Amino acid sequence: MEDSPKEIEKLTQKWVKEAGIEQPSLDFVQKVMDAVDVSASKSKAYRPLISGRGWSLVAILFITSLVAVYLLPLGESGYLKSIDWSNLPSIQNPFEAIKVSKPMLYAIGFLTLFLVQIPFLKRKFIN
Amino acid sequence: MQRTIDQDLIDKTLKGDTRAFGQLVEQYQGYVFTIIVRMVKVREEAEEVAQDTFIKAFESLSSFRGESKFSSWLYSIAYRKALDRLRKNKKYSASELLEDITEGEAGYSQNALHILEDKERKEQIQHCIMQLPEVDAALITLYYFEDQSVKEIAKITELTEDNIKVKLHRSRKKMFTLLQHLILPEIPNTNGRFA
Repeated sequence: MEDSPKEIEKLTQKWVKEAGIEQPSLDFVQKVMDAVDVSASKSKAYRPLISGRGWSLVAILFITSLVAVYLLPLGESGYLKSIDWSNLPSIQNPFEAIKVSKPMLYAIGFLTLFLVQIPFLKRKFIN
Repeated sequence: MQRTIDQDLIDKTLKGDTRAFGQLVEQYQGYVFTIIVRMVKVREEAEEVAQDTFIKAFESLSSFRGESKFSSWLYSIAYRKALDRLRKNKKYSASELLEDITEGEAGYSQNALHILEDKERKEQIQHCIMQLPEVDAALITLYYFEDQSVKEIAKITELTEDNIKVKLHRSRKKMFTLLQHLILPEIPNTNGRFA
């Protein structure tokens, strides 16, 4: 007596259903949740101190103040008028004497590019 | 229905409620553990792999887009984790061992199984599934117990549909042969290995 393929199919289904599922140990859920909590707190710990939104706020403030310095009529304000400007030391470019060669400029450029890439590469490979 | 309950729990988890994830673990622990234990064959190791599976699921939950069922997504993680463990242990012995078993003599099996007591029969069937090669045992469980379609299993395991069909066919025959050897050991085997 040989079983037909259909019969085998039906019986396999019946048997596998009958075999049911196997249960892990009783404290399995607890163990998983402990590990999950550790994982959750770890991801919180790595959050940067200044968020992306924070940085953009800083950038906006910086640019606004720069623009403000150029645009606002500082000369007309009372406080600034009271200062005797002639006594102030003249401001000179402190880096005037430094001469940067072309290869040095390229080197600085490449180093900057490299440093800018690091966060992107980190994000790509760590996740 | 199940899909919306799962999605609800996933949303809660993503908002920081880890207890919601606990409910998902409770619900799927048996299924995930069954697939893994049938692949890695050792309970203690299977628990570790199952734990890793749920942690991985938790960490990458935000990447679950809801295009497939949550269970399928979870099983694909479980399947890959189990394969990783097997590769690490280099344990593929069961598959080699089983190649030697003849696939004939599929008859008499169902009658013989009727004789056994329910509990004993269940144990024997479980034992037989455990004897199957790692991947085949997972496929049999997904297809016959979880009622996953071949298409869904293909997504979970990244095997081709034809390959899955062939493996399922082979596993059915192997299960029959194995049950026969367990229940009716007096029937001589053609290659004489299991007298």
